[in-house]
Amino acid sequence: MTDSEFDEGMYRMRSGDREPLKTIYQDYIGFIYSTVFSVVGNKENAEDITADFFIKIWEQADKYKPGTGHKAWMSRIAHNMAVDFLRKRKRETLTDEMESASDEDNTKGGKSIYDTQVVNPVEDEVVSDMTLQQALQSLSEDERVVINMKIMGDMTFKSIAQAMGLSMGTVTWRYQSALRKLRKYGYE
Amino acid sequence: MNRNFEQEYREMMNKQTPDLWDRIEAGVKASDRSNSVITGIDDLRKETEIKKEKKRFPNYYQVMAVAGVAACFAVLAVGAPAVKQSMHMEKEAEQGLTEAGLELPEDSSSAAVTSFAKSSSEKESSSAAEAQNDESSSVQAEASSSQVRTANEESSSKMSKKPEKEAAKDDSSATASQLNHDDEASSQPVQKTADSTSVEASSEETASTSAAESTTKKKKKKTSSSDGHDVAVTSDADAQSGKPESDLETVAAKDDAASIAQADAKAQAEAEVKAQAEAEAKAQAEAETDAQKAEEEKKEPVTYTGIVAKVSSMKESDGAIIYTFKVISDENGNFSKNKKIKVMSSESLEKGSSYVIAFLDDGTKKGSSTLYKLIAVSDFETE
Repeated sequence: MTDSEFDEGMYRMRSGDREPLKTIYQDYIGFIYSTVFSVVGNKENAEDITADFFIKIWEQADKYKPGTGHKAWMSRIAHNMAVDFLRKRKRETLTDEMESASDEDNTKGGKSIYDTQVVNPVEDEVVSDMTLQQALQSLSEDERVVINMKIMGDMTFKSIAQAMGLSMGTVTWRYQSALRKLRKYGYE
Repeated sequence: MNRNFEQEYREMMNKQTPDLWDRIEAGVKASDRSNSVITGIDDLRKETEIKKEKKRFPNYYQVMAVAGVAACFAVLAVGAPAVKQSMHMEKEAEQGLTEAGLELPEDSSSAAVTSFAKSSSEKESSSAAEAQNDESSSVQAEASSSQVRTANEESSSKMSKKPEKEAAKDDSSATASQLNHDDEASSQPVQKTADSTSVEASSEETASTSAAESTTKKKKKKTSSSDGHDVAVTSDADAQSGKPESDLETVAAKDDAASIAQADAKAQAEAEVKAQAEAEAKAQAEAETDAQKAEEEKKEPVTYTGIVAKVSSMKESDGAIIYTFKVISDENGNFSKNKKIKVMSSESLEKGSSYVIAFLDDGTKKGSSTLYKLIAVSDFETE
């Protein structure tokens, strides 16, 4: 979907037309879901946040400014929603820990799947038999977001930097750092 | 073993991506319903805000009341200068009355009117006394010839012995008796002063009539106040005879009108005098400026010399001859060739002869052309 098509769809959504929303959903569900999943690392939470994301787009269709780059706009919203979710749940988790410090199950489902597993980044060794999931676990959250936007969103470093509010050098460095880590797992 | 991370990552994410459209559609519907509710709430808020705004504005009656008050203020603002002007005119009228030696009767009290009438009668009586003295002296002269001198002397001495006020009262009452023939009481003092002799009575009668005449003459001299004085005397008599006060009020009103008319006439006369003085001063200034201009013109005569001209015609006028020269040449270049100039001279010049002339231009004009005065002339051919 081009920017002009997205802008037109958002314009129609303002008048209550749901068809553009379905088109946007079909085109970008994978991108949004992966973006959210790269942050939260949990399937159920990622589904909830993704569903809320599209509802939010519907509700805020009149606030969209055409010509600003729809992928960057959507990825920024999705990333912020995922980060807000994590912050909110972290506060709830801390409160629960204070209430029952001895309860060890409180971390179950509360943390990202990437945090629950121990990552042992031995940069000099190449682990060829590790799965993709293990390779992703070796990346930091910021690196995963950049890789996801680059692969799933076909976004340029400039638009990624715009979406995350970072400089293009930072985004490029994070991308290169992620590739270096993935090479250790046999990926090119 | 090299693996393509991008491809594997995309396949994994596409496999993991759930179908969330039903949830999303349900959420959109729910949000629409909530939006409609919110919209309804917003509408209610707007309505209440509109009602509040309407309450802020005053209703029809309040607006009308405010407009009425504003109109009253406007009327006062417009009418105040007119009232001030009328008050100013009243003040001017009062001032005019005081200048004329008259008093404005306050309200309509009979006391003020009677006092005014008394003052006027006193003035009349004093003038009448003076006139009577003159008349009595004349009567004395007549009486000396008709052997009634002693009686008149007695009467005159009695008159002189009498206080002035009494004499004035008597004379005023006498005047009143002359003007109002029905008033019999006023004739009694005259009879008292005349003692019992008929000659005295006749002399007194002549004196009283002459006094009355003199007063009436003086009244006539006072153009507008004469009527008022007559009425005042009558009112005095009326007051003595006990007539109602309404007549006095009418008298006072007439006095007011007369005094105002007198003040107006005085102001008009003053204005005329001023206008005449201004016109005279203006005419004098204009005459002075004209005289100055004439003098200036006369002060700057221009002399022209070395002009060779031929006499084309001549005409006698007031003992002098006005020659019409035709310019042949001018060494100074003031006159062009063949230009005709009129020169007045007492010398006899021949028509058709050419001369070298010098003449003066002192501003004198003959018709539309300038009339020069010949200073020197010599025969052109002889030179």
